[in-house]
This record gives sequence, structure tokens and C-alpha cells, in this order.
Amino acid sequence: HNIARASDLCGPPKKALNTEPVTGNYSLNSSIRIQCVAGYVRKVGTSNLIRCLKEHDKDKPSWTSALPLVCIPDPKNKKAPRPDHQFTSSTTEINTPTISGTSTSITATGYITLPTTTNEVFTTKARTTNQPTLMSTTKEAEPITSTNAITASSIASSIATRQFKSTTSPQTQSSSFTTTTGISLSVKTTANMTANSKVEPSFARSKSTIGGVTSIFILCLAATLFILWWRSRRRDYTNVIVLQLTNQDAVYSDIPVSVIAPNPNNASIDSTAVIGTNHPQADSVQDSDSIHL
Amino acid sequence: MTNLLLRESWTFDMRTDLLYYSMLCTSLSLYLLIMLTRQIKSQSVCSRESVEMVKQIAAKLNNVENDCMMYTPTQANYKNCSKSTITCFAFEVSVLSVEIQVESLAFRQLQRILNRVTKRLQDEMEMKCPVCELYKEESTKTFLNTLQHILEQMNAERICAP
Repeated sequence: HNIARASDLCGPPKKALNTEPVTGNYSLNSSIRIQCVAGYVRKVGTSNLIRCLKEHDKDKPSWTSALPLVCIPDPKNKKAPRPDHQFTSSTTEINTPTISGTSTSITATGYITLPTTTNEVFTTKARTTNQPTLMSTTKEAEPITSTNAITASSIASSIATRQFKSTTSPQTQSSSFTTTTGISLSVKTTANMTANSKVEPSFARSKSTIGGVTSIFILCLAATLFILWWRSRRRDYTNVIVLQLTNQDAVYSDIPVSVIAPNPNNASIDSTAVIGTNHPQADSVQDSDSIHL
Repeated sequence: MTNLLLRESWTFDMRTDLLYYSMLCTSLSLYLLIMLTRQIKSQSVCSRESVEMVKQIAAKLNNVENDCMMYTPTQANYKNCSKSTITCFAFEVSVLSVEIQVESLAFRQLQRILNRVTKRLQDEMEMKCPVCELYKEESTKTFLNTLQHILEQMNAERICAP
């Protein structure tokens, strides 16, 4: 019975960056919400809900989430500290070479890894905070070691190395330097996001314009083809009319032929005239005989 | 004489036909251009069906207990930052659909519509628009109610084609 229960339980979920740890075992199909640590908030588009589910290809259930939680620094905290920003600016001027190197690393890793890089830097900041306790207690070394291990596994190990070097400086300077780097990364991230947001509208506009122009072109082409078809049909009808007119001309040309050619008709007309002429002469002869008598 | 008269008539008819075809082509092209422009302009942002989808989702969620909290911009935010506001809603709708696990076509269609609308909108104060994480997290009911009002306002502002 215990074995059956164990096989249907999920252990504590794996701790994500900047999240509160969760302990205890949970039953199959149960769900819990992970919380971000203080100063961090859930990134939009990610979910803090995870479920204990058993996948088909696995014997034991495991925690799953379709939109894994990502905790980012609370933007509300960024707006408030204007004096810190000024302090950061002054520090930046002093440590320009290191910051340049950091920027190069960010560019190399690309956009997708920027949030992770930012989180890594803030993790290093936390380590700096723990530095005083490291001197007094040996046990604290273990968490720091695990932090280093996590840092080493990420792409931003070079940045972490630089951060490690900075911690050898006096505590005050190292803290300020860490803060400077963190803010610089944030600014860089914001700039990239802004650039992306600028590019997308223009692309959308051009796409819409191309679609519109294409549609107009297709419609005009269709209209032109229709007009040409209609015109050809009308031309055929006109040709029919022309043929009819030609036939009428043929009928008309027969009349002159009848006037010119028929000599027998002329002869008949002459004979008729002669008959008409003889008749008056006969009448005059009869009149003279009656007078003599 | 008669043939000449016929030819003159034929020539005159050709000219008339050409003029007629030109006028017809021009008027037809202008008509199509105007209708197409109007259709593109109106349908690119209008989304009458999205309001109905939000209502459907809200009706379904009334019967489901949930403790989801969503970043919820307000209608005042939409006024100056319409693009970023709709973008935030689109992100959070996807989160809501994952957390609720309700099989609904309306969720997918709503996400598609919001993404399409986002591409068409422009923010008046782009550089000053707040990020989504600055908005207050609200319950599902408040989130959907606000989204519905914003979509209705958007449809009212744009001249939707019938």
C-alpha cells in the first residue's frame, strides 16, 4: 500500500530561479502555485501553476507546466530609486572597461538568454550580500558553492567570473559595482525590447500594404479581362450588322443591271410605241374618207 | 456616296465605344479601390466576434472555481497605450487557457484575434507605455470584464463594416 502511494506521489518540485522553495509530497493530479521571492514578480505570459501528472512514457508522476514560471525583477522597484540611478551613473564612469565587456557578452548570448543573464547577475548580487556570513560560518560555504555551480552551468559563466573578481574588492565597492552591472543589464534588455517593438509595426504595415496592393492589382486585372471579353463580343455583333449591310448592297446593284442589260425589254417597249403610233394614223384615214363621201 | 456614309458611321461608332470603355474602366477601378480600402481599414482592427467569445469564456468560467490572478490593464491604459494593452491581454489569455484547462475553441480564436489586432494598433506614447508586470493582478472575472469593455470600446471607435 505504501509502495502504491509512493508511486502516485510527487516530491518537492524543482526550484526555479528566484522562486520560493516548496517542500512536501503531493498526490497525483494535484496542483500548487509557486511564488517568486521578494522583489521579483511573475513574467507576463508565464504561469505559476504546476501540476503533478503522470506522463505516458514515465512510471512516476512529475511536475509539469505548459508555461513555466519565469520570475523577473519587479519593475515597480526600478522606477523609484532615482538617487541610486545617479550613483550608478558615477560608478559606471569609473568601471567602463568591465561594463563594455559585459555588454559584449550580452550581445553574444542573444536576445533569448537575456532574462536568464539578468537573473544570474542578481543571483551573484545575493551572494555578495552573504559574504560577511561566509567569514564567520563554514556551513554557509555550501549554498555559495551551489550557487557557483548553477552559475557555471549557464552561458553567462564569463559574466559570473567577472562578478567573482569584483567581490575581492572592498565590500562597498563590490556592492555598488554589482548594482551597476545589474541596472546596465536591465537597461540593455529594455532597449532590445523597444527595438523589437519598433520593428514589428513597420513589418505589419508593409505586409498590410503589400496585401492591399496585390488585391487591388488582381481586381483590376479581372476587370480588364471582363471588359476585353465584352468588347470582343460586341465586335462580333457589329460584324454581323456589316454583313447584313453588304447583302443589301448586292440587292441594290441588281437594279442597274436590269436597266442596262435587258435589250429584249427595250424592244418590247419600242413595239408598244409603234403600235401606239399606227393607231392615230388609221383614225386620220377614216376621217378623210367620210369627208369625200 | 452610300459606302462613304457607312464608313463614316463606322468610325464614329469606334470612337464612341472607346470613350465608353474608358469611362467604364475608370469608374469600376475607382469603385473597387474605394471598397477595398474601406474593407481593409475597417476589418483590420474591428473584431465584433471577439466580444462574443469573451462572453462565452466568462459564462463557462462562472461554473469553474479558480484562483487565477491576471495582470489586468484598465480602460484608461488603453486610451494612450492601445497596442501594449492588447498585447498584455493576449499574453494573459494564453496563461488563463492553460491554467483553466477548459476545452474551448473560443480561447484559441480569441488569442488569434487579439494577436491580429495587436499588429494593427499603434501606441500614441510608445516609449512611455508601461510593461505588463506593472499592472495590478486581478481575478479572472475582473480580467474578462475589463477585456470585454475594452473590445467594445475599440469596436465603437473604429467604423466597422456591416
